[in-house]
Amino acid sequence: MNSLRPRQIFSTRALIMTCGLCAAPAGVAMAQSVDIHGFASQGYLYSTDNNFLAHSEGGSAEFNEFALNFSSDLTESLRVGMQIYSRDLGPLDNNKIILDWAYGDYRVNDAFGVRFGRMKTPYGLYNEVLDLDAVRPTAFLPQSVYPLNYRDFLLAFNGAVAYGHLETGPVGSWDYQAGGGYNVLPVDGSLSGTFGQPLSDADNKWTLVAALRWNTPIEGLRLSGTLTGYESRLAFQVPLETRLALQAQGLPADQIPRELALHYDPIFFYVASAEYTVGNLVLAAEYKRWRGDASSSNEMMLPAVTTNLEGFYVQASYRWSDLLETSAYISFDFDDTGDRDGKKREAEGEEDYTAYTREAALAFRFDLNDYWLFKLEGHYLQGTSFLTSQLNNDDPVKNWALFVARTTVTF
Amino acid sequence: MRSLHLNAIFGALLLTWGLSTAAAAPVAITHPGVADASAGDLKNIFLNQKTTWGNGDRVVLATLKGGATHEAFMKETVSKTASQFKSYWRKLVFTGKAKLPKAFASEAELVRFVASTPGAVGYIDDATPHDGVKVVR
Repeated sequence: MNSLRPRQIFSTRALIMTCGLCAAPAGVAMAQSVDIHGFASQGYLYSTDNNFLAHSEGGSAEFNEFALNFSSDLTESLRVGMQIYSRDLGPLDNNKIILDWAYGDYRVNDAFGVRFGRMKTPYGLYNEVLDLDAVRPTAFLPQSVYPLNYRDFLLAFNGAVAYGHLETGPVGSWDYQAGGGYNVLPVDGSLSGTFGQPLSDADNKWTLVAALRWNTPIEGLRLSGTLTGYESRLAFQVPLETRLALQAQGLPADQIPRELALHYDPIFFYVASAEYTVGNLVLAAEYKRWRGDASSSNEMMLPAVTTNLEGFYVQASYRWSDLLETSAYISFDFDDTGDRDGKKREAEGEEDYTAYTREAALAFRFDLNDYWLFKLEGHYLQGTSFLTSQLNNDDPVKNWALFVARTTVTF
Repeated sequence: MRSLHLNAIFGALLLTWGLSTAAAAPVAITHPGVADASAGDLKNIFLNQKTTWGNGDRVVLATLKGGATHEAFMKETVSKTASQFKSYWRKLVFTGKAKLPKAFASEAELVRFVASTPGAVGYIDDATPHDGVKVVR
């Protein structure tokens, strides 16, 4: 059983204090204004082959999300808020309720403000609304840039950011966020599935975030760059059967570790983005690069890991009417920028297509009214790079299709 | 007779078209105490990028729930469709960055709110009575 480390205790206390900050004055201000919003979403996944996020081959309804948030303006400059969130996504989370974000926001003026507490990570154009089905045309954001398997890493962090909006006359305007803190990584979360091994410890020493968005003088065009960095240690227990097998091969018991660890010191995620809106048409393109080296606590048993992930997509969405919006995208995901065709992977004895995923998607969004929407979409995929071994023990299939239906109520 | 009949139909269509065009002529209005509202600031104001007036008072947004005036104001002033404006604000609300602006079903209600709320700004059709508020030109 894991005991709470000092920093985790601090983290828990900090969040409770932030919630207290929200609750007490909000109660006072209740007659004045406490805004309450939320959403509930239920989806269904079906894939012809392979299991994507859930046991989708054959169909899975283990795909739901709920959130409820409260916010209030305590003074002219200070607002506080919090959101609780729950999801079930295949083997992940099982509707455990978590504190999604809870922070105070002190805005000195429009050019400078500070947020402190637990807040969403500015990564790419859309990560801060990763869970908000109502603001995007598709049921999922493209997995090449926004992989749900890394949600625990990507979504939020505890700390502080400075932010603001700067007007620069004829060259447009700028939005910035910069700050840091640390992340609390659950050992039973999505990272275990990603590594294919249950984690025994996941410790994030620091998280760095920086985002700059340029609202260009060209009406509707905005360009963005984000950088997030993490120093983390991920540890895995060595299974008893592995230790016994090594002993049987003559390795002394005292030389067989009970735990192996990877130390990312650090890993950086870069995203460059462009979005162009003209009338009812929205075009978006984003490029992701994840780069970092992880040293191993025991290189004989667990080789050091070099992360060199790459992904990008191009998407077009068009709203035909209040009822209907359609969207299409193509997306590419590579485990290693130096092995886009999978030949190195093949030389290592695996199928080449496990090194990449090429995807085309077509989605239909129906807004039944202001609060209730329904989505239907189909994806054709080549490759399996963003599938987890946790859900795909058998040999994955190269060419496969995924169908998603999802309905969401937002208020 | 037939041509007269068609002329009457075309006349009615033109009148209807004229009325619908007239109905989509939005103007921004503010509380009379707001001294420095300018048409150039309206986009930033309605996108939560300008949140205080020059005198330090907080901007209080008033929006319409829908309709031709709402759609025309969003398109002409905010450069977004009504649907994009709704999504934009939902993103702010669900990340804790802002509170949803107050939304009104009728322009008369919106005028009353703006007239009685210091720092308030909203929009109505040019032809809607707007006693007690200042029009932003």
